[in-house]
Formats: sequence, C-alpha cells, structure tokens
Amino acid sequence: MNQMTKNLIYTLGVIVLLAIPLIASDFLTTMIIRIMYYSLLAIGFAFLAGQLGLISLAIPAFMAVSGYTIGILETRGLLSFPFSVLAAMLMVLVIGAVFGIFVNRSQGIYFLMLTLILGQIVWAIVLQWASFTKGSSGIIGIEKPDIMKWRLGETEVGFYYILLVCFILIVLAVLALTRSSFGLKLKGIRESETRMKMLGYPVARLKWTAFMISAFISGTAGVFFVYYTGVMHPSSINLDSAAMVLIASIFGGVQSIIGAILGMSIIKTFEISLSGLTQRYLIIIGTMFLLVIIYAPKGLMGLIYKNKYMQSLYQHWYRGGKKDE
Amino acid sequence: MNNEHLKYASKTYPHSEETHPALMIKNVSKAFGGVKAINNVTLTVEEGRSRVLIGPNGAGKSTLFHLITGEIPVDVGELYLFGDNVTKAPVQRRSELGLARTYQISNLFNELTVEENLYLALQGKERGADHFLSFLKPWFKHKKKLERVREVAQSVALENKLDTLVSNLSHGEQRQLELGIAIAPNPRLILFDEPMAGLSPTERVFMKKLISRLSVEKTILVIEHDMEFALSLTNDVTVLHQGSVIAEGTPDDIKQNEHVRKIYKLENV
Repeated sequence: MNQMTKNLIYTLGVIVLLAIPLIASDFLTTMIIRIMYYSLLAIGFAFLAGQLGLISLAIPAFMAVSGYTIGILETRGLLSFPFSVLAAMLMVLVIGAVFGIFVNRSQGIYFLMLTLILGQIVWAIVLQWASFTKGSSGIIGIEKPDIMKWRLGETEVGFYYILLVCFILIVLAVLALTRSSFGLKLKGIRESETRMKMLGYPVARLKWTAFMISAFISGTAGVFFVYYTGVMHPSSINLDSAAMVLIASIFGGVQSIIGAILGMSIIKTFEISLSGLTQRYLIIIGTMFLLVIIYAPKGLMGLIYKNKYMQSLYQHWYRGGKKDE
Repeated sequence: MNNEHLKYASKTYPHSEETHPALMIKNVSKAFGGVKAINNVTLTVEEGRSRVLIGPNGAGKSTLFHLITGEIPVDVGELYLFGDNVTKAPVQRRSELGLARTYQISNLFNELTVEENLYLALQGKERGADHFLSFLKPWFKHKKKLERVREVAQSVALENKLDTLVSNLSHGEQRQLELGIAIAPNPRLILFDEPMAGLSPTERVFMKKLISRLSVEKTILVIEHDMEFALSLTNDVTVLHQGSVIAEGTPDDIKQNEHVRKIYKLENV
C-alpha cells in the first residue's frame, strides 16, 4: 500500500469520525462517546502494561479523583470550568505522584496488589467521607460547560467533538511516546530492571513518570465521564471498573494501545447492545473473554498482527520499518 | 569532540585529572544470614591494568561483583571507584563514574532487537540530553546514535543481527551482545563475569580475542574458569576461596602457591 492510499484511508477515517454525530443516530453517538472516554481508561492501563509490563488496578481511582474534584468544586460553587478541570488534573497528578512513590519500587504481582489496595482506598474514601463526597448518594447535577452543550436535536455534538479532539490527541501522543527513546527505556525496564540500572538509568524515576502519565490519561477519562453523565458515584470507580479495564485490555491485547481501544470498544458495544436484550449479558461477554484467552492469548491485536500487512505497519511505526527476525 | 560531548565527559568522570586506582575494595564483608559470602576482602585494580579473579565455585566471586556494582549493599568495608567513595552509592552513580559489567547468565532485553539493546546501552550515558519534546521523535530517527550502535555491533560481530530479537539469538551471540552492551557506553572499568561460560570452541576463540583487545584498551576485572586464558590475560591475579582472598600475584606465583594448588586439587579443577 503506497503513501497516497494510506493518506486516503486516514482522511476517510477522520471524515467518518467527524460525520458520526451529524449522520448517525443519537444512540450510536452516545455509544461512541462512552467508548471514547472508557477507552481513555484502557489506554492509561495499556500504557503501563505494554511499556513496563505493570498491571495497575488503580486506573479507575484517577478517574475518581478528577471526576470528584470537578463535582465537588462545581456543585459547591468553588470553581467553574475550565479552572475546575485544571484543578482536577492537578489533583490527579498530585495523587498520581504520591501513589507512584508507593508503587514504583514494586513489580509483578506486588505492583498489582499495591495498586488494587490504593484503588480501594480511594473508593472507600469517596464512599465513606459522605460530608465531602456525598457518600453512596453520589454527587449529582454536575453541568456540562457551555462549550460542550451544543446539540443537534438530541445528539450532543459539542461534547462529541471536544472529546474526539482530546481522544485523538491523547492517542497520538501516547503512540508517539511508545516509539520514542523514553518508550524504549520503559521497555528496557520491562525486560530487565537490573540491567537498566547498571546502564545508569534512573529506573525508579522513569517508572514514576510513566505512572504519572498513566494517571493523567485516566484522569482525562474522569473529566469527560463526569461532564457526560453529570453524576459521580462510588459505583463508577469500584473494583468492577478496574476489572472492566483489565478485561478490555486483555481482550484487545494487553501490550497494545490500539488493542486497548479495540477491546474497550467491543466490550462496551456488547455491554450496551446486550444489556437491552438480557440482564445476563455478562455471561456472553465472559464467554467471549474465555475464547479470546484460549485461542488468542495475545488478544485480538495478536491475531491482527499475524496479517503481514498489519505486521509491516507495526514494524514501520515502532522500528522504522525494520523487521525483527 | 564538540562542547556537548565535553559536558558529558566532565559530568561522567569528575576525577579524571587525578590519579586514583580504578577500583579499591577495602576490608569488605558480606553475609547472607549465617553464611559469610565475602570476608574482609581487600583488592585494588589500577587504572589501565587488568586483574583476573579466580576461585572455585561458591568462592564469592560473583557476589563480589554484585557488591562492586551496588546491586547488593556491603555490610562492612569501603569501596572506591576512581577515587570516589561509592560504598553507599546507588548502581546508577557507579555507572556514571564509568563502571560497566557483564553477567554470568546473560541479562539482556530479550523481547527487543539487538539494535534496541545497543541503543539503550548507549543512551544510558546520555540521559538528560533529550529535549523536553523529544518524545515526539522516534528512537530510530536518532541517526548519530544508530551509527554508533552499528559500530558497537561490528566490534562484537553482530552487525548482521541488528534487527534480530534477542530471544532468537544463539547463546554465543547473546554472550557477544552482553559484551557489546557493556562496552557501548565507553566505560573505564569493565567487570566480566565468566564471559566464556557455555561458549563453543569457535566462539571462545572470538571472545578471547575480544577480551584480550579490551584488556589493552580498558581497565578490566575478569572472573574466569578457563585458567589458561585467565592467566594469559594479565599479571595481576587474585584467588578467592570461601569469601576470602587467599593469594595474589603473578600467574607464576599463583601456579606455585601451595594453598591454591591444594584447593584446586581438592576441587579437581
């Protein structure tokens, strides 16, 4: 495939994405909006899993931090958009930095357990500190900023486009990061921490930075979640959410950013479509997950990369077109 | 050499104007539970010279390497690298001072290519040199570094394997890459931990040539079981047994040392 054909495909893709809220049904647009902000969570997860081989179950906690910060600041009239968003993301970075200090010397199952604990601490705080977070009632009535309120009929066009721009920028930035020198250093840590230290790399600092990046991406998901739903509730950030992110990433391919988006898209599409048909839709998703684990242990991206053309695209992106043998 | 290079040179080697031994180990001890792995070891490697460390299995040779690199903290004693007291310094600091090592069991980035491995080895010394927006630049677009990667690959005869995943290399090639990673940052002192382990006769010949050449250019400390090679490499030999230095001297001194002969006879080596 030559460059012109590729450019044509990319342009068509962008046109389709831009046209969706104008031509598609409100249901479809809503579904894509939900897929996009949940995919941000999956990207935050896949960035750590793919680059460092670390499975973080604290991802929804950062969504909670940004969502609750905006909710608390705006419903109490302390700050309004865009300052509430800036404050929320700052809070995400601060909490991410603190959590990062706790977890960046651990690996494997210990990292997973630590992030699980930290995620549960955040969940317990928002549930139990009712005077501040409204506890199990959740914070309701969080209004979208004016810039996101533009509608065409029932379709939330303004929200869709702002989310789309942020989503594309984040995906491109993360993809760029994964093939930069920084991304390669993280992969080096994934392969051998001791060797990286011996080569003079500040391993703990690099892991901490990666953890902060992951937290930031997950935090952006919280911003869009809270403005879209208008509600921030402990059930949105509980262990189920962490499991959903984990399942979606494994489904798509745990080391791949595109795989995470693909996995989350499939999970959310099935969840939204099937939940209207049966209450037992999780059994179907669970069965699909089982089949993927058995027949495609590297996830759907593993199957996709078996295709020579897709593999060459991968090689071109990550290794400048050089094939590994 | 441009100013940028000088900046890193001075940052990396702060004491280059003074003369100090490359490595000085003073009365170092290390115990694991009740077992004294290293017992009051004192050892010096002068800059520009090579030293061979021999001893039967379990003598504490690899442990001593771990102590020198900082991978394991010392219990008692002091360690100096080029005059700097690094007893409590982290591994990275020792690397900055010009220390590199190879591992007895290859410690490589297995799911990366040879080129990526060597790139990481080179990049380690130049950390902090990146622009804050450098994340937008793919690693494989750093042409100058890739040229240097190719040079290093050539020096360890891996120039035709640059795009090969490490996990697909033969054992001998992995040992060559192990050495390539150690020499890529242009270190001042290299610790070789049994570089010949598991190599075929042909690969041994190649590796011997390579290490012999490095022993002229660099300061090296080698652990090796191949006595003939080890004793041909240098005049400075140290024998370690049960965590203690039992003999030190030239190869002839060592060969005639009764204690050493007894140990090796008992060990059937």
